[in-house]
Amino acid sequence: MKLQNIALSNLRRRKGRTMFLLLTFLVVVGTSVTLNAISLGLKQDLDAKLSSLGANIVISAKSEHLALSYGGLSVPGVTYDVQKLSASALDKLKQVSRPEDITAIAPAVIGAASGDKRKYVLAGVDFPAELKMKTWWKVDGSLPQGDEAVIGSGLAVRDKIGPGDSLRLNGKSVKISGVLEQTGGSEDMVVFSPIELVRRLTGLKDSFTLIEVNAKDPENMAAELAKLLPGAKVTPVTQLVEGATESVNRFTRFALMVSILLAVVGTMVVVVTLSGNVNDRTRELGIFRAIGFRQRHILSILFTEVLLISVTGGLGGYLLGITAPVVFGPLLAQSTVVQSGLAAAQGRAAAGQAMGFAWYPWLGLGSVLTACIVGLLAITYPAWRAVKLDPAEALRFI
Amino acid sequence: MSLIEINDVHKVYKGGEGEVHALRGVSLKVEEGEFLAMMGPSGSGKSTLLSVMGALNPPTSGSMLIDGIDVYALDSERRADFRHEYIGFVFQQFQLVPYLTALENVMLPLAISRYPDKEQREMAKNVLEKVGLGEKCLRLPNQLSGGEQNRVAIARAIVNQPPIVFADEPTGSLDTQTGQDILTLFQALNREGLTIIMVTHNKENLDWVQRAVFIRDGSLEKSESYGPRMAQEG
Repeated sequence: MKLQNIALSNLRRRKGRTMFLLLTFLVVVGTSVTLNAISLGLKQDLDAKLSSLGANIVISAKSEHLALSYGGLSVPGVTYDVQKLSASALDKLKQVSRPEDITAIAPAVIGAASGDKRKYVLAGVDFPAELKMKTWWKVDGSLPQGDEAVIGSGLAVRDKIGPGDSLRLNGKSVKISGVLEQTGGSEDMVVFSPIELVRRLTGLKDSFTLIEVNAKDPENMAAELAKLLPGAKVTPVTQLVEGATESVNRFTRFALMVSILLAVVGTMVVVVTLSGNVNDRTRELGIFRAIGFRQRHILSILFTEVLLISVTGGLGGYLLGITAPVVFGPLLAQSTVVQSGLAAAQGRAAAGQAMGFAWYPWLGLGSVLTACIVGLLAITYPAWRAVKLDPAEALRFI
Repeated sequence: MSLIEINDVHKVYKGGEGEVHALRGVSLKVEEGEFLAMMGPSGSGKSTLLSVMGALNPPTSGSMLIDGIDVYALDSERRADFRHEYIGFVFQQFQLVPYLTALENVMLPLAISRYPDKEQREMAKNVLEKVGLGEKCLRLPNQLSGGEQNRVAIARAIVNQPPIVFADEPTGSLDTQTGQDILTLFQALNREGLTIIMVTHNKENLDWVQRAVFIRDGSLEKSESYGPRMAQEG
């Protein structure tokens, strides 16, 4: 028999106490890992989406906005002096000092058209350019040609229409060639057609509503484009996601604070429980000392016990923690990133994909190490008392 | 030279109610292979003397030599090594570790020895066979009767073959027949050369020992030697 066997036997046969300590570690580590995994997931998703957006600069028509307030109550303001983004803007994009830095351009015309029963949002896009930027777009059916359109999935469900059906838009019949798979964004309720068709249907001739640009060094490129297009509003996408970044940062700080709080409370619970355990084992430790166990033998037993629980609890908590975001992540993602506007800007946003299962090995290592440190800190004082125990006193000879 | 020599040992406890003089100038010699009983009423100091002789409880003054070694001149860690090598204990209420099986309890002293696991297991099994518990070696203490627990405690005390065993009221909580069985076992072990020092307050137990010392108020009152006793004759 080795000293480790004594520790193992104690844990195995004192199931109630072992389970209580394990549960403490599972809850504390699990909750901390869940929060931090969600935070990391949101950050990574934000970074991934930013890098995979295709567009990192959005050029739109300039307008002025007047915010309105009545007695301190804000109401939707008024947009005025709306300028047009002329079709010639596309040519001006090629006049930048380093045109090779622009890797993709996707212009769009957005307008409204009346159907038989309701109005529809029309988006005229250059499909090859659009699909290059929005790689997550998947069309069930075929891409539209001529007077055809692709509709968002929400629209297809609401109006019970699909590929092969037709829509009457401003009195003209438009055949539906495909349905855009659900993105979770505003695209789900939009009718997408080639730019020329939308221009004909809406009368928005010789202008674009917005131009999405993918460029290297978007901040500097946006500044240069702003000079070239004085009548346009040129916005680097990073500015658009400031709200999302702030939300994620705020959540990260919250996760960190809760983790610290849990670690403190968890440490206290473990300290009290382990102290009680050692107190209850005074006689047993006295027997060990009486039959010749050295102090290091006693320490070895106590530390083995606490390390076994800490490692198991830390590992279990980590596994629990990285699994939980798969369940709870989408809810959090919708309440942070999606509402920030990023999701609306990029379609299939964090909601579904952000909280996919991920291992986060450093988080795992950190969890197990922290659990071990907490366990070792918690056992230090009871262990010190245990080794200082007078065997005669422990066995009540005194 | 005697195996154990105690010279003018005093033990004073300091508590909230002042000093308690538990041992008052006790001197005693125990020879190798002796089966000695320490008799006395409750509170007479016999358990304190046992703990002092067992290298567990340093005396306030006086000296104690075991096999010529001044035990209390050793630091606490070396004294633990000394106990491991020289002394086996059978505690009052047996004091088995509740979460270890009978076999594991007996293996406890071997857990800090140089013996490999397989050999430890063999040694423990042999000793359990010797005390008549070979069949029940995988039971937990709470699955054993008082007498059986006592036998496990005895097996644990002798498994690493110490020259001395101290037993504190080993029959105190047992019925008469089981108590006699335990004393017979002690006697058999003593015949094999083991020195046994037993604390008891039961005069009937003196039928099994070679000598008894009587303690009252922390002092040795008298020492009585007996010839070969009835069980030995039997």
